[in-house]
Amino acid sequence: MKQSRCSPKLLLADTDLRTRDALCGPLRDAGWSIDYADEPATLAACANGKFYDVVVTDLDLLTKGGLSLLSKLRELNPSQALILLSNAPGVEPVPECLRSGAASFFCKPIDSQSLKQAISRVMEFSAAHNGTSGWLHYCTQAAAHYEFDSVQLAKERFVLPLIAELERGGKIDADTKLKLDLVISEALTNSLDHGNLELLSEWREEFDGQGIDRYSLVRKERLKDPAYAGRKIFLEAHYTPHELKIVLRDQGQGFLAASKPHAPDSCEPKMHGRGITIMNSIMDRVEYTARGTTLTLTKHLKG
Amino acid sequence: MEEFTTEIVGNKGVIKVAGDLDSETSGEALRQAFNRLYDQGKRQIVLDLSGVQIINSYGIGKVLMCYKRLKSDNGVLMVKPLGGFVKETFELLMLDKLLPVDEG
Repeated sequence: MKQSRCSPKLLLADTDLRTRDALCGPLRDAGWSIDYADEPATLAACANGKFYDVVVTDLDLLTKGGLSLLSKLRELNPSQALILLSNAPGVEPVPECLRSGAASFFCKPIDSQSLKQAISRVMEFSAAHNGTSGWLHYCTQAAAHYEFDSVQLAKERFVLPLIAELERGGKIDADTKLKLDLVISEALTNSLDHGNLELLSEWREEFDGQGIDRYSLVRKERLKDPAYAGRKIFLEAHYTPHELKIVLRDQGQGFLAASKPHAPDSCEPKMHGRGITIMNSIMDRVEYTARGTTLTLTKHLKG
Repeated sequence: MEEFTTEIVGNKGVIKVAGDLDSETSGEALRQAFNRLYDQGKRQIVLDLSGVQIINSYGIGKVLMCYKRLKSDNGVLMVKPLGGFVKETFELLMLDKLLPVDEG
């Protein structure tokens, strides 16, 4: 990325005039050349005509412009650093940062000093790495929260975006990413099937002449029964540079994990318990608490 | 509806599994492909998992169901040579000791 040696150029995009008034003056005093956009079309036009070292944009304005606006910004200058501002309380910064590839995230009201420091860090990093920054590099600690509906989870496989970001940031390799995706899949399946839907593993071994097992039949029935299907699953992903921790909580009666990994198949193989063995082999720690309704998975990361 | 192709090679039936074995859809496709060969009287059935990147406990359960049905009828379930993460998973769960490899 070419860093401007004259006044660094910043594009501030926000519909809120108070944000503009609070930030433009101090940033100009700090030596920045500021352009201002108050709607998606202006943001796109500015970005199309000029190079900016940093784009600071309100999340709503960016969202209103749609993914095409974000794609356009990225296409025009892939190494352009993006900082997001949000006015919405409780907005999950982690998923938003991951989706947009932002370097940083602030909730408004934001003081100009904090923003100046963030911009300086972004500029230093981008200059040193000569490419896209990405949120993960600036993040010292973060948590993302997800809530799942049982029926929705049964239909669609959930992939935790943070894991792809870990690979992109060089924290894990492609093989580990594959395994972590699998662990999340196994853990959610356990929470859904054995937690919320209260399916018994031994039902997998009862099947008819067509190979249809009792487990599958009861699963279909319970996904239509509000008493089971109405239950939720909650996932929290906690990131620090040295550790990824995933906590899952279901609303079932409890799922008792095997106290030891699956034993070698000496005679007849068991149809269950393998998910836990897989999780134990990939994660550094697997803990069940609260009668098995809460599962904590920990993976150490290279710092 | 997902469907796995099957073919007869000598006295063996072969199921070519496409995509990952990690969902109810793929599990059902495997069951149906297995039934097609089983209903034709094939009792030596080979799973070709070369196109599979991920197999989870659900998929493994479906594979084992095929194994049990064949075993109860004096048949045998085999696999084509495995690779990648699928091989690792099979070795972790010691399924490589259960299912012989069909090198043919």
